[in-house]
Amino acid sequence: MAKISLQNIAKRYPNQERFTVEDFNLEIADQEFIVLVGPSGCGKSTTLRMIAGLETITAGSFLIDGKLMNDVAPKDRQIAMVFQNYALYPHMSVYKNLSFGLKLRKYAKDDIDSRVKQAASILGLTEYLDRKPATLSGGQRQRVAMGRAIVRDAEVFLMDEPLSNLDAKLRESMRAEIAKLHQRLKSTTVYVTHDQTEAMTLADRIVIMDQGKIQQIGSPVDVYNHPANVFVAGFIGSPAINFFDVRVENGYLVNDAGFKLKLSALALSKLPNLQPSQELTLGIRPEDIKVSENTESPEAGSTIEVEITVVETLGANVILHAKGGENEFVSRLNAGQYGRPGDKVTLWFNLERAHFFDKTTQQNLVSAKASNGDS
Amino acid sequence: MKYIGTTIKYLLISAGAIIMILPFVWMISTSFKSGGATMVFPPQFIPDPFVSDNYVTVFERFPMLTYLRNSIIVAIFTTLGTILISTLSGYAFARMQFRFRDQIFLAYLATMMIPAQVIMIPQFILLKNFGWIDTYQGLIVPGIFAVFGTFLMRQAFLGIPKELEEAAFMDGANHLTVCFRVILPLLKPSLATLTIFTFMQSWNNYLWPLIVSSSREMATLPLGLALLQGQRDTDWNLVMAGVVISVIPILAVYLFAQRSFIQGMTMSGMKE
Ligand SMILES: Nc1ncnc2c1ncn2[C@@H]1O[C@H](COP(=O)(O)OP(=O)(O)O)[C@@H](O)[C@H]1O
Ligand SMILES: [Mg+2]
Repeated sequence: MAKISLQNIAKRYPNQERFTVEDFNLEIADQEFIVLVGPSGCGKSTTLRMIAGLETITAGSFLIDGKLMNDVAPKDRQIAMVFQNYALYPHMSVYKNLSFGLKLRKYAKDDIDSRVKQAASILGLTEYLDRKPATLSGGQRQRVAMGRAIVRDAEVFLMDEPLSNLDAKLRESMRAEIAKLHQRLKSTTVYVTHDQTEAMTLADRIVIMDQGKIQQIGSPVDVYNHPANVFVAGFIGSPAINFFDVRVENGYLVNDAGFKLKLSALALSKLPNLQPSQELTLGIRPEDIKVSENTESPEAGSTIEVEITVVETLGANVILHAKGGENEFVSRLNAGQYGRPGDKVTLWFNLERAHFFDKTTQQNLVSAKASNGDS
Repeated sequence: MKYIGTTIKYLLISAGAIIMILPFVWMISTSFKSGGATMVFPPQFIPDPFVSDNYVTVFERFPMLTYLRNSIIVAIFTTLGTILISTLSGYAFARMQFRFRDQIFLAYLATMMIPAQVIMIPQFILLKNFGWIDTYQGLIVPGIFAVFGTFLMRQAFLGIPKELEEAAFMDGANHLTVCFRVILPLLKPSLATLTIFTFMQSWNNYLWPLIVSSSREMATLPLGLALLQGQRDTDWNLVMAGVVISVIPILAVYLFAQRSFIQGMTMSGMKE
């Protein structure tokens, strides 16, 4: 059982003017897998380290199961942490690395042995118990780092970019293992990454941060389908969402760079407070832009003529980059032949799945409720 | 053709080595000479006659065992004390948070610029007030607060990734455990350097023992060796035998520390 509560947490490092983390509010349920995601330098590690007790909390309250933990030493917090560079003890064997914490906590010798052996078997480290970290591969070191966290049955796991030092393939398989491990151990987990794919695949809920502030909290599906603001829309999703600065004119979305799309009745109905000629940022995901085949007959005004610039073939998908007027478009399509660079095609836009942001506040103009009601 | 450069290099290096080693050879050779053969011309490198009695005589005529014992006690405790103090203070200056930490460190470092001769007399007066003149404490304690050692260890601690300590803290360690069980084992090269340096310095120190120890009972080897040299005539073969005896412990420490130095170089387990 470990519920975590972060209330108005803020961090300002000594001799710094600005707060590195500000107004951080988050309730984490027992057994929940939370992923903090955001660009490098946005304060993810700082937040995690405050939870761990490795950084002091400048302001706000941090509670575990209702108990204030702000000033409790790291070792008394029932928290285990996996570090980005693993931080294995170089002079100790894998066995000693795993058992060090248990020894310091005065576990009985048999208990230590059985815990280490069990963790090793879960992580496939049994045959490496006598090795020193220097003789292990990156993936194995990563497992030892995980093992050091799991031997203790800590209530809370913290992981700071645990996969960032692995190559792409290993990262994918370790990602799946972490998901499995969490299903098995069910410890409350806070996981930090700058990789939105990792965040989407692992999280129960994602916390998207930028410049020390939470931008949005929600399930992966929520944040994908209803980004709260321009930043979230741009950060989540790969390839990245298309943005267009547009204004509304006579039921059309237009810009001076040659963009013109008719706003469907449904799209309009989601935007009840739209002012005439209001400036918007339109966000539309690559998969919601299709190449219009001649056989279909799309609604008039829902297409734009473009010229293909780059075609990326990814097996199951084709990523099409195109240019129409001064606007750039990225579209994700099913595998197939759509043309070559220089060819002209017609793109069709599924505006019902588009996102509308206020150009000045950057906030989504459609409330989360309204958009959920529709989808 | 291409070997010529290498050959010249090796010749030069060998010449240098010979120049370096010649005094040692001369020392060892003299220590096995008879009294009359030390000053003959041309100089003999191979002693003739070959006498090993000098090593016995020097122990019989002088309290060599006392000198040796004093030197060993002083050098060992000075080294241990220096390592302890340097490690603790180096860790504190590198890793612990306290007010004016860096200023205090700089001030401490600045004391290196004060020549030893300047503080010698005040130090002597201080120890006199402690009643430490002609005692082991007097010989040892002033030597263990080595600024250089603190500096060396601080730099070494700074070179260890912070996460390693943090991982240990999360594992339930306190500062002392982190310092001695997690980090220090990784600092064998620095410790070896500090050991060799401190031991040699203490072993060879002449001036401070000369000031602090007044009796023969408290004389260390360098003082003792000076006493081997008589007022009018000196038995160089005996002096050299004494010197050889005094060099052996240094060699032992050096060889011992060198092994862990090399061992330390090959240890690394972090992913960077
Ligand atoms: N010990 C520190 N002292 C001062 N500034 C720091 C310290 N640690 C991190 N920062 C600053 O805080 C900001 C956030 O850092 P961090 O939390 O590590 O970001 P992230 O993990 O999201 O990349 C960065 O601008 C970084 O330079
Ligand atoms: Mg970070």
